[in-house]
Amino acid sequence: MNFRDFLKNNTVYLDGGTGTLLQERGLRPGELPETWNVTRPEVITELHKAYFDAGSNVVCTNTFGANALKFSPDELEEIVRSAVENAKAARERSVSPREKFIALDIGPSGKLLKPLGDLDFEDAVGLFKTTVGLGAKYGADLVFIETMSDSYETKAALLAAKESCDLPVMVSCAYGESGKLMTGGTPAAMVALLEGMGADALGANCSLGPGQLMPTARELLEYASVPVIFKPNAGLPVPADGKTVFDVTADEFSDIAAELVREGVRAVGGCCGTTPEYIKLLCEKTRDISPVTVAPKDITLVSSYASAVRFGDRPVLIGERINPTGKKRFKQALIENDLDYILSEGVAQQEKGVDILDVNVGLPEIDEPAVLKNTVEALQAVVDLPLQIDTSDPAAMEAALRRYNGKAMINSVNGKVESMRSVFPLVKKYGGVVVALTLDEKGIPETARGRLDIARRILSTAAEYGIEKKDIVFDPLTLTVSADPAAALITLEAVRLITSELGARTSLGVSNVSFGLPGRGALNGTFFALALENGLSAAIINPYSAEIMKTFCAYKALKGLDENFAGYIAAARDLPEASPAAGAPPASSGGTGEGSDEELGRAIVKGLKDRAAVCAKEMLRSADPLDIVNGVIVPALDRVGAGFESKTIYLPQLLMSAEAAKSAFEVIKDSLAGGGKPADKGTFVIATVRGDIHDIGKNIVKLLLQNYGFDVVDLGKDVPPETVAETAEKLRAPLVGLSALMTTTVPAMEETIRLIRERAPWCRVIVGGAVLTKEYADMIGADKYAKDAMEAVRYAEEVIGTSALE
Amino acid sequence: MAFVKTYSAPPFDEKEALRYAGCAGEDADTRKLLDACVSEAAGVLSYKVCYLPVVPRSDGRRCKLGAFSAVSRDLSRLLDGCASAVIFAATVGVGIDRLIAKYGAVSPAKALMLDAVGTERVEALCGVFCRDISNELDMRPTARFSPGYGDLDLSVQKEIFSALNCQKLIGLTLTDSLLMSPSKSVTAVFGLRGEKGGGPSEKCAGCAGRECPFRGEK
Repeated sequence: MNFRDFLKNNTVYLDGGTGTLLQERGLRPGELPETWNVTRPEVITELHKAYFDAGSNVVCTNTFGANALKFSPDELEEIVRSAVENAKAARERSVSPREKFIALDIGPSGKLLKPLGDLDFEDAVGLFKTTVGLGAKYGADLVFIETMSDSYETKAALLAAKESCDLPVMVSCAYGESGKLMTGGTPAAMVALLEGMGADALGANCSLGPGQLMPTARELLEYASVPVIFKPNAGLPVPADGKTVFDVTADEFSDIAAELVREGVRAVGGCCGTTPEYIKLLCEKTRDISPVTVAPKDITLVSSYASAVRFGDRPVLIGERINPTGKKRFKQALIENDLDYILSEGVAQQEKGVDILDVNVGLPEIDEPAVLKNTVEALQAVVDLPLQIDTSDPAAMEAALRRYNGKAMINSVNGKVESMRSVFPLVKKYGGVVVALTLDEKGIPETARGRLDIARRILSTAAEYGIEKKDIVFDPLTLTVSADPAAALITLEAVRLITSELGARTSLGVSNVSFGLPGRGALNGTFFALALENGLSAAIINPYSAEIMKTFCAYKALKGLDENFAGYIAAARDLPEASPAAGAPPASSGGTGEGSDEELGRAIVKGLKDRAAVCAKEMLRSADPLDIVNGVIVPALDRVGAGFESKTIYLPQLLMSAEAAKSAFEVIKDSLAGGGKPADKGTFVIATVRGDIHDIGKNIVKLLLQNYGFDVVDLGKDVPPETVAETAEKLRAPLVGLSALMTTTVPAMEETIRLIRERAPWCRVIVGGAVLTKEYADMIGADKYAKDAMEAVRYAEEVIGTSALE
Repeated sequence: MAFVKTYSAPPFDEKEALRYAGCAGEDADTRKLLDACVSEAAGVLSYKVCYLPVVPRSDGRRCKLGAFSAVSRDLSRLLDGCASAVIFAATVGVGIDRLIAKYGAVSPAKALMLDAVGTERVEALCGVFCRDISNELDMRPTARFSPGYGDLDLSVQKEIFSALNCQKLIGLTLTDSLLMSPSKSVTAVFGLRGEKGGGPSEKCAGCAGRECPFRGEK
């Protein structure tokens, strides 16, 4: 029987611990257990056979750490080949009458993925592909990805399995006491990700004993529409008489596991500390429990690396601000590759309470696939909200979805044959909840029924691709009432019909309804309320719009979705009665204009961000932008900088002032965006060198340099020497700043300097970082060692000053 | 095989955190920043240690600690006369790294302060762990000694990581350039002496880093 069929109707018994048993048989600490496949095949075969004999249907090969990071290609092939052979031999020799399968076991790589660690996502995919390819070649029946503690690496492994074989794939993660993965993922988030990508079964193993892992298993059962795996440790290891023992006996273990089989777990076994005896008892105690049918859960979930957003419980807000349409400053940020600006937009919207961030970087003058991918990577590294990938370019959509750490929302597909043909395969492969616009080759139907018909057609085409209704959210399109007074009514009716007749989720971009009319906020808010009442599940909104947020809070309060009105009361305190200028984050009320320059200076010295922005805005009414910069901001910064140098002001205060100055600069930049900008002093290329993944010091230097008018090109962290040299050459940069934190990365710094000398001989190099000293800097050929950020600024000013004279 | 311990948040040493952030003193604004960072960090921190009790053996040059061995006169000296020793790895988790990265983009002042809080947290965790183990065994701990200290080469990190099974047990990994990720982590060895009483020896006194800005007065 093939494994997929077996899984459909049976409780699958997995095996128990391997590593712990090999240690008992003489595996030394630090010795790689996988080598025993080759050197001690009889031990491995005997262990597998013991599990088959005890009742296991599935035995996992001894390949937990068999990857190309630990073994050469030849060694790896030999190990995987022998591992599968050993399991086959055990299967042949076992006397058990049960169905028996061999799972290629895949454990974590041992590395953390970028940007938190140094393993690139695609390199991780490549590593896993190599092992899976070998396992499939030598005849494994399925792939078992296990003990994963990071959602991103889990995704890489599953993607690799899917791309390199057709075998069934089971995926199991290690959840801690908190009920989350080490990197924060919840069971619901993992269900969203893994089911979306087509895992055949998913679950929890290792890390804890059966009792402690029970709540996690139950949560998985609540959300999963595929079989759930439960493979805990025999409790915790405790030292006893110079030996290590696990504190849960086979009897206790099997009692708890049996309880979960009764509740619906469909693949059960043990991890560290469990033995064939545990499996034998488990089989006995569950013999008479008939497998619980795996019911499809009609739950719409999107997820980030950390958490899942569930549609249907309450309206879901999708923040629309990461989008260049109509925003000069945002366009400028995209063109200048100013990711910090985009990240700030993400963080600010999260603070306003949105659930999902729409990400649109569509501009004709940029390489959208590359920029969308980079933006998604940058956002998912710092924001724990799910993202909505918003693009009409299928190549950009795929690039972003592939790298997305979770189950994304996808914006959008529509009823056109071509659109469905290009988008649905991506949804199927990478998982996702796709927004479907109810339009087709003939345009947008003028009736609600017409839009419902398109929705039906989209559903049936999606089903052909194996995409379920729960993964489609219909957008029946908001049209402008000033063009057609009936437009809003039609849209509202379409929302109602799609909700009631199809039982599907809906989403709308709200603000288009009021286009061309004055006082748009009131129309948008009321339209939003009406749509919600008609069943709307989500809306793409501007979270800075007071009317939208008020409507949202009031709606939840009135519909019993806000316990004790806590959300409403908190929001009522923060939301102003009147709406502020559209798009601007509300700031405290401004000064009168008189004495603003003094006030701006004071705000900078005191490090008051919001105040500094308000003052700058005030001053712009009457003063020239450049006068504000040179007459107020720079002198204030200088005062703080001098205080820092004389040690009367400490680093955090210096930075708070720098941030306040930056927020004043932002206001000035806004007023200039598109129409020129203040003259830059020169380009300063800055990077943390290859191998170094910390950039806090570099970011501090960058902020101060920007404050002092340098155009800083930030190459990020872990930057190859070639990239730095090439950028310095291309931009004819007068200055490069390099940071290194560890003695192990100083050689990379030295190599970078050498390359800069070759390719950009005019360029001066400043270095800094925890391990550097003046002597060290001289030794590796730097022009300047800066002990802190102010010293870097002073040197930069000096260099630019002299080069201006030359 | 290595064991794991999980702790609740140790008491917060505000002065240490401020010192790591480069403050010799504080004012109201720094104070506010620190408080905001402490409460934001609290939600993402976890306190985990994996460790291996070993019997140290040394010929004065090469130090053998169970399966792990290293050439280091300084470490040999530290463990001289110790009946047992502990190799451990401690981490406060990856959440703080994400917070630091987030504020690196939107508020470097906050990133700096969070970084300092993270450092203080993992140091505090090490302190709690050392005391805990010493009390369990009713022995007195020496100072902690980490790879990279004195003549103990940083490359021994690799062996420590495999001996302690850090990735699997506490989610701690090592990059090719020997940086730990999560970054707010410590690996170290300390010895245990038979007699109890007296505190651990002054942590700065035994270190050769005379120029270190964080060196204690003594």
